[in-house]
Amino acid sequence: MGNRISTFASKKTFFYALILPASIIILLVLIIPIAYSLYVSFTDLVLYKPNAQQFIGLKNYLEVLKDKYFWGSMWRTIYFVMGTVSAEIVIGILISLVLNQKFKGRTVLRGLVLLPWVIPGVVNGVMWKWIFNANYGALNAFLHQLHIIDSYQVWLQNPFIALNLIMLANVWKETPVVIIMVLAFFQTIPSQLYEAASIDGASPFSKFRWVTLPLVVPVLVTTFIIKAVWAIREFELIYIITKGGPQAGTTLVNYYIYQQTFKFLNFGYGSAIAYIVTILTAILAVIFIRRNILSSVS
Amino acid sequence: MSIFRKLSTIIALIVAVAMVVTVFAGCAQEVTPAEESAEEAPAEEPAGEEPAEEPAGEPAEEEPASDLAGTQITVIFPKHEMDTVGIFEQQTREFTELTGIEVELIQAEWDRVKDKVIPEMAASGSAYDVIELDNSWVTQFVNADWVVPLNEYASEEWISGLAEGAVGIFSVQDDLYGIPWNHDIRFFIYNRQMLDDAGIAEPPRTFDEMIEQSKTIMDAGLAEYGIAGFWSRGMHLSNATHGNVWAHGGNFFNEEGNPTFLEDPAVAEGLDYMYNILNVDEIADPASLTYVQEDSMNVFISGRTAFFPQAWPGLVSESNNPDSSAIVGQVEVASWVLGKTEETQATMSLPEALAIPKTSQNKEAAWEYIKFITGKEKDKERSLEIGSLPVWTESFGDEELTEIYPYWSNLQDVLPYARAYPRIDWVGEWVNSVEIQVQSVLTDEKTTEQALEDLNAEIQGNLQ
Repeated sequence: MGNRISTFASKKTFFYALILPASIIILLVLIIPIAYSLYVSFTDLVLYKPNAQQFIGLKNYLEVLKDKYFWGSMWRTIYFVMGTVSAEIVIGILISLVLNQKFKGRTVLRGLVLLPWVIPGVVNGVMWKWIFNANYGALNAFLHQLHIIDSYQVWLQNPFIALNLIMLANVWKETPVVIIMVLAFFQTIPSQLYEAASIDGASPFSKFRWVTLPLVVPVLVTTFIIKAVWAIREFELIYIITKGGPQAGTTLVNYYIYQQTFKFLNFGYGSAIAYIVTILTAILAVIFIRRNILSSVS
Repeated sequence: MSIFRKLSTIIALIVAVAMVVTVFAGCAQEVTPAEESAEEAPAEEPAGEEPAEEPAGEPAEEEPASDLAGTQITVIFPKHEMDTVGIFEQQTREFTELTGIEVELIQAEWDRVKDKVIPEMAASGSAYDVIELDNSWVTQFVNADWVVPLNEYASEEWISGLAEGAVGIFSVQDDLYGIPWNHDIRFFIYNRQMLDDAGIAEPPRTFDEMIEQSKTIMDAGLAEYGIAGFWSRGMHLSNATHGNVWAHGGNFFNEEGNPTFLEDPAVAEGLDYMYNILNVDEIADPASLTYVQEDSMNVFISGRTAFFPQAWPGLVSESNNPDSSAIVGQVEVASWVLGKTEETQATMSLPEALAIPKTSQNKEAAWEYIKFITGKEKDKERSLEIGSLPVWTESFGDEELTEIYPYWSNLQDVLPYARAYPRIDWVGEWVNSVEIQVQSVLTDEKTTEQALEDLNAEIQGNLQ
């Protein structure tokens, strides 16, 4: 009995010894900064008045909830997330269906569709800024050639149009992720299901509606949650293309956090906004994790 | 097995301790700016050039103390927009050759420099010995006690040779906190060829005259628009707005820093002017709301606009660059700036300075660097090499310089009308609010009155 306790104790010590370095690193680079920034969110820290920092409790959070620019950025973010993620999923499924067929050059095409995702975010932003340029942008040239517009338009001067164009740029870049996930799942669908459907006289649309779609829905839900979390964090496109304008028309919540924290140096207030957004994102993450746990248990 | 387990445990503990020690050792190392991104350009070892000689007539300065040789300092400021040849790096190497003081020079885009300097100052870090001090940061930095007064280093005689307006911007009460290295004054330039072709004898002196002449030039098919504003979101929009408001005789704040724009009708006139030239008179490029300064410059030097009311020195050089300009030799610089009337003419002064952080461990060496780089000789060298506007008043009349840049004599006449940003330490929020409200007016979302009321409501928290 004594030997068993001793062996167990030494196993436990060995276990803790192995995880100790990683735990220390996680503590230093993750836990402590998170804890400090949480503390800062309860203070009125302004970076150019570091000695005047005072603990103010929930005042920052209450101010955020009364901030019309915060709510504006939140509603725009929700619109952005719903619009981009929905478009990515729909387009992603359609492209995946095509790439799931056997045809010559399929392998090359599968590689090419990944290119937008591989392009660095900054490069993507600069490229689309040029495309949307009022004087020599490709969008104006394209629409003008097709006689859809009579003269070149200043697309980015209208807040609503500018926001939707940024969504377009985001969808272009992020759709390949959906394609990868959906296409990978398609490979796991047994072909016998489609054979059986064919024998029963199902049309291609019926096969998609009654065979493919029910099976792929769980993957789509997971993809939606992941993409939504990523979309909430969108920053580069706004920073490069519009700087949050015109007016505040393309200021999403992540960009608003940047403005408050790094432009206005209101670290306390910016941290409070960041934690509110973190809580909302965490809710999405919890849903995702619970779904994964439930599906693995079932 | 039990021996093996004991041995494994001991080895694991040793590895764990070693990793922890390594982590702490790594954190304890001083991270110098030289270890950061590739766009930063540390000064190279001197290439054996002869040390620069003190020119005759310069105020007598003490030679750098010999005990400063071997000192290492870190200097950070933005790359001059006209410096395409690396002249600051070259002059920094000369400084090291002359004094023996090693310099780690960091030059990056303005926003990146700001993102490095301000957090370092807020954290009371000592990574930098010489920092950028932008004209809009003075109140903030001085109130936060981040920079030291330079009066104990610079003699009155030396300071008196610098451009008075620029020195004033970096002074708080009687203390001077920064020595200008970039003298950015905005002035009025126009395409003389277009005016001649349109039969216009004299360039405009007021906004109304500019509007009329723009219409004449546009109707004659000589230009697409009169001007192209730089009115996208960014500090440039705030710069343009302040310039236009001042040029209408308006003020956003009074001397005490209290807002006056609700009571001052000239402020609304300034905003109305911007709205009208875009939406009523239609002499401003409609894409102005998407332009930064470089976009407006490109439109001007491609010959699509006739006037540039808030130009900077580099624009004149660029307009005469045959590689990029379609209007070489056609541009003239006015000896005045536009205003509602000739009496209200005003323009922006946006200089940048070098300052010494309070936390610097090498203040003496830092001052030697500042004195060298901003000294008259090096300042003139840069003017000759890259066409930057001199910081020394005397240089505006220097024969060698005025032969190359004859329009500088006109700029001297503009200097008295140059004004600086409001002296507030919440300038970031102020600029942001101005951008949003001005764009609301320009896009017809709000009236001028509504925008100014919303602007006033937004800044109440900062005023408290």
